[in-house]
Amino acid sequence: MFYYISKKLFVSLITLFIISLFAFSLMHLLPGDPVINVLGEGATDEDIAYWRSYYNLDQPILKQYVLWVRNFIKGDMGVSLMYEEDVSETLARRLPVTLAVGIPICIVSIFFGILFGVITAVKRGTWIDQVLTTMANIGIASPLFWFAIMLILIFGMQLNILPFRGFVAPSENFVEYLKSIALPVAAGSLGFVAVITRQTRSNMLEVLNQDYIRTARANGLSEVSILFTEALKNALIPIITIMGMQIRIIVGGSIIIEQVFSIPGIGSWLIRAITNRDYWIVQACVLVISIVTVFSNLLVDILYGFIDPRIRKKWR
Amino acid sequence: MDELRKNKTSAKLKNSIQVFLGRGLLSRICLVILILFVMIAIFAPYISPYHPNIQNLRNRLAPFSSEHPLGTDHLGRDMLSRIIYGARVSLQSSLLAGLFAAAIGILLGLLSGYYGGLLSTVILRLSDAHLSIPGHVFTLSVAAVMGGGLHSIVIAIGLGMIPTYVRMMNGLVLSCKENDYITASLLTGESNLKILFKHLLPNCFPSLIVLFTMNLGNGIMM
Amino acid sequence: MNMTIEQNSVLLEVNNLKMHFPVSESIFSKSKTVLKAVDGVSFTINRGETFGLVGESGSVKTTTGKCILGIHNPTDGNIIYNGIDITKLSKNEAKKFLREKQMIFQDPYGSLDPRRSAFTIVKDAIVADGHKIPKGELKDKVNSLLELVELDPVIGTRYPHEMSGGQRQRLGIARALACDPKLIVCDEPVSALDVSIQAQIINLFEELQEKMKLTYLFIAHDLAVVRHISDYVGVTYLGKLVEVTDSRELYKNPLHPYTKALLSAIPLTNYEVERKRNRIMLQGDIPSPINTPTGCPFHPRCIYARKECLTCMPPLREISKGHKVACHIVN
Repeated sequence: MFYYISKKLFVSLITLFIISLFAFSLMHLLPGDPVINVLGEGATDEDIAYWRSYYNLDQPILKQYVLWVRNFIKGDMGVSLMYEEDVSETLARRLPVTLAVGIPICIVSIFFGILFGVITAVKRGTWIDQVLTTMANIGIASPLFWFAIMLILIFGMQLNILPFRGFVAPSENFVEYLKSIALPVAAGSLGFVAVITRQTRSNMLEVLNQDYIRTARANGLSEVSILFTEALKNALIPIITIMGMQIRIIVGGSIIIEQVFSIPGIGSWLIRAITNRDYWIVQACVLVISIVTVFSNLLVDILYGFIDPRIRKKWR
Repeated sequence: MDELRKNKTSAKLKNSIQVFLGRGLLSRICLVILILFVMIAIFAPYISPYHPNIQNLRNRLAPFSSEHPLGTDHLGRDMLSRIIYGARVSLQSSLLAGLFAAAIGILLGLLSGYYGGLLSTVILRLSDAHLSIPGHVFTLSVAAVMGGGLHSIVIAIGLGMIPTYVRMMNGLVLSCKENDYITASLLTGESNLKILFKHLLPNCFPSLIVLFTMNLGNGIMM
Repeated sequence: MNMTIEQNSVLLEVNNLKMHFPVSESIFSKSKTVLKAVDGVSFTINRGETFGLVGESGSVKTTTGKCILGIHNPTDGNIIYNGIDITKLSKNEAKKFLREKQMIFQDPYGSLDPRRSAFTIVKDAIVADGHKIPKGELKDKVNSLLELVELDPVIGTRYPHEMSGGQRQRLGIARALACDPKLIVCDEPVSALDVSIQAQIINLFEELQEKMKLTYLFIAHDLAVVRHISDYVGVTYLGKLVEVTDSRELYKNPLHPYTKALLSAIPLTNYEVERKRNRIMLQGDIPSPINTPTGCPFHPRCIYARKECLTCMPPLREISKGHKVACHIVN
């Protein structure tokens, strides 16, 4: 297990290194000087020189990278030129908001995905199965933003029962928080509920046909305990793989969710920074989002190793 | 001999179409929708009632009517025409982006799968790192660097889709190169170039087409 | 069969060939387990003759063949082809001999690219070395090769999946012949075919040998097939060669207990004799080539095993002229 984890960790660090190179080179790939791009042509030479040295742009490129990484680890991500806001401070304010929406999306997707998957597998061929499977297919096919807009139209504007703009922190008012994330979470989890439902259904069907399930039935175990202890445990392994692959899509999707529902998280910040060509924010956001993705993948991998001993062995 | 071969390929095509249509009502409906969509995109200028960019500020945000079947937007432009032309842009950009990604991804995957070793490690590590950056984040930031315009969108979306092709092609080549006919070709002294493009690539093609069509849908959604 | 071939000079000499594969690779722990696929095999093949390699399933025979063809780089030992040690050649130098050594595969379907027609497969093999041939001449050459292996040139338009097993194997032979080979490694070329077709293909091999002065390394697990085609036979067991002799001697006077067991596994056509004879049944399975037994690799299954067999690997000794055996018991 130690080898397995350390090897996975090593691979993750290499991945992070490559991503940091990508994030760093974003600014240097584009034509022209980033400072002049932001300050405009009319900026004074003094201003330009000041900001250039502030961002270490007058240093050789390798040193710039080293300094950038060192500052980043220290928690200093620089100051956005456009709004003169401290990037790390804003990030610290916005990251919890993104997580407060993203984590419920994960929980809701996994819960309902597995629930619907088990139901459709057990009630295979009945109308419940048909309805849920059809809905899952629709959920996979429909684009996220379209579904989000539909939710706003129906629940927000027509029925007027749920807020569809902004965000209330759970520490302020927990009920209002739940209300404010209801629609975003519904929109964000639809696709993943659909994917997990389909995967769980096919895995469950496969497992339920195995000999050891028949033996468990013959031994007189109750149907519920067969389903949730024997069958689901074995059906879960491929589902965790799917979850690992879906994390980057969930994180990517949260950008759209935040934009559509005007939630002040990292996603909407990133989009604003991109439209404004505020490279320092873009760099920091890309790196932070990627770190979150890489480490959640690492977590899934380690979880995977705990559940399935065969995989540990393969990585020895 | 050539004529015989021609007859055979046309028979094969007929056969595969029959198999496809035999799959049931659902696939037939899908085919019709797909063809309709492509037709609309191709013949946009002949179908759409108005030019998509003509503004009519006196007739803004109009509801459905016989004149404007889907109403007008905030600048008084005909919505139906805009959707029809939009289909054109979507299809074009996702097709181009898919081709761009497929060309680069397949080439890298071929090289990594066939030669293995350090080259493969570098290519696979890079594509792993790429896969750890959420797709939207990657595409948006590349688009930001590239600036506006159709070509930059195509490149941004295309670059984002490369690693899936690399991974898939790498796996396909790894299993395909174990075949005896590759060994046989090596023994006859065939060049690596010919083995890569005349044996490995054609034999991996069916799976690649599946991936390509799936990515087309994703490309449109981007 | 062809005991009196005009040139009795040696074409291929394999000396103490070893091919070990590492079993598990790991960055953190240097693993020492190796799979000894080939562990000290030596034999010679004369020009125009056929050397048969037999033995139970395992990787000795195919790996030896692949080392000779240059697909694997042997761990140790020499392969002297036409007077030149090909294990010491650089890649470019080895290329000169590449086309002289060809292979016929066990699985006639897997050895043909499913996306290329029969004509293209043979044509590719002809032009693979890079020299240009005018189109008409190329077509004639392909067709004559197809006729040589008794295939109708009409078949040229067909794809491998549209052909029968025998036709595919013939096509595989045509592809090998397209390179003007001197040595052909036949890796169980008939074991995937119907018995009726096996005979046809074996006869084709013999005809081609006479016509084109080919030398074969014939790999099979079926002694009956090997007896028919081989001049000399080597019996392998777990990476080692345990008995080498000419095929008549082997069947008349097998010395190694393993060879005896293999021969007694061939059913006889005479029912009365078959009923009365004592068959030697081998006990147990062939051990894994990763954990080879100490001493003689055959001792766990050998009914004659003595003390020395457990500790000491018997060397390959010449008992009578041209008959070598690796066994402590044989005098």
